[in-house]
Amino acid sequence: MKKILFSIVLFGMVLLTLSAIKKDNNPLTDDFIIGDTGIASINALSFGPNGILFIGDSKNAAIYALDTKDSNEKVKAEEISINDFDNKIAASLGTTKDNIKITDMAVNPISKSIYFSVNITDGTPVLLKLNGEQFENISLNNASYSKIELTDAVGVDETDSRGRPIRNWAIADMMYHKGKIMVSGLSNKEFRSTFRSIEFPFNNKQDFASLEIWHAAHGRFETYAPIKTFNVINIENEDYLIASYTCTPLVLFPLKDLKGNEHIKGRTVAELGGGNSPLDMIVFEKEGKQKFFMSNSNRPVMRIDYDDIVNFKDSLTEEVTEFAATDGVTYDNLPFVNVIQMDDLDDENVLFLIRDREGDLVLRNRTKQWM
Amino acid sequence: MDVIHQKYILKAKVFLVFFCLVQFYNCKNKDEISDVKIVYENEKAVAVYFATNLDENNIKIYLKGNKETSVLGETVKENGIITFIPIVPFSNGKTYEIQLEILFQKIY
Repeated sequence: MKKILFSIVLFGMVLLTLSAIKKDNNPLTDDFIIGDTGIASINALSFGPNGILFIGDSKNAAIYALDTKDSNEKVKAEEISINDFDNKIAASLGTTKDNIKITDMAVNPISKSIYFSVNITDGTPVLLKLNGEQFENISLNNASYSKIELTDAVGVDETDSRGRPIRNWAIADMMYHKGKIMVSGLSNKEFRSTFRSIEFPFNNKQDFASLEIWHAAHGRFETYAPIKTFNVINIENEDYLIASYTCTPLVLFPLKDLKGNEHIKGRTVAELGGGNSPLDMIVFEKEGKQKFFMSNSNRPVMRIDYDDIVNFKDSLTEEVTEFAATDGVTYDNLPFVNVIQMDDLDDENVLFLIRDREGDLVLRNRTKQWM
Repeated sequence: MDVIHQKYILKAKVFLVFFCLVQFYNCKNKDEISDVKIVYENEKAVAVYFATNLDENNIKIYLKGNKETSVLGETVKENGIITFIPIVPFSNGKTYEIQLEILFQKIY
């Protein structure tokens, strides 16, 4: 009898220990599996909590959450200045720069490590982490991950009005915000431009809204172009999506409305100039005031004051007829051109991947003091 | 030109590039690397292997002309054969160098 009692107590203790261990685990990664992710392309990268990296794969029309296990906290990043960057990445992949495309860059906000996604011309996607001036391969074939497939993503063979394939824009930009991964891109619906908000850990629930904006440079309402880059702005205790599109409207959408398969019309607060595509948008405080910074394909990095956005109560509804002219919220052009990738590096620095005046691709940090 | 013919030309190109470089290497390090072979999958050069008495940790592969950044991949040694699997297949027409890298330790 004593033996039976002892066995029961022992069994109970083992169960308690196991459950305690389970509680110590990261609940965000409890449902992760280990194996081949099957990622077919990398269009966007964005860090979430605990070193979890979200990877947007337009080919598969899926979002992957990858546990990088890169969660050792670092307050300040190292100084970074690496010339000939595309040749170095290409050489680490055994090829030359004409055979690669750097599709995104993301800084882990905890460790300050820098990650790059690269697509090889043969279609192979690669994820690299910078270690000093060398690269480390982050395996996509043997990784701890979870995945969600986007519902109603734009079809594999669909094209735009000029016959160009648009599947690549199934995922245009991503950002983790308050427990959700937010995704801009194109759907297969009549109003293609779409915004998704997906709970993380993934649970198959996807909130979806189709978007409509007044495009001042084109002089019409549009629903078919994806948001190219976005961030979140809080105005009077309400979160808004601050989004920019090609040619280059800046639009606000109340985040609370972007759900339930609704069709939402945004408020265009600026036309930042046609003939341009926005690339990245970051936000940080300078002297106690929030400022937004946006890099562009054909314009310098723009600085937009929070106060100017908040104080612009109007909505643009007129066409901007002069080519590349601007309207609405004003901005300052910063002396940084050809910034291909931009991200927040640490409290004092931003990170630029920039093509300099000699044509060299350079990775370097830049103090926020001079931005 | 038919597909099979093209495939053999591709194989010959990649193999010859390795072969030439390894021959050059062997002039200085006789008998340390031999029998270099390329592994193909779906017409892509996915690995290279060779016989050697060297430690796999001292072997690095570079794209010719770029000695600062070695090619990323996995190196394994089994029964005197080192296999290097690059994370992306070797590029057609590119030249690669197999290099022995020894860290010298100064003994006082």
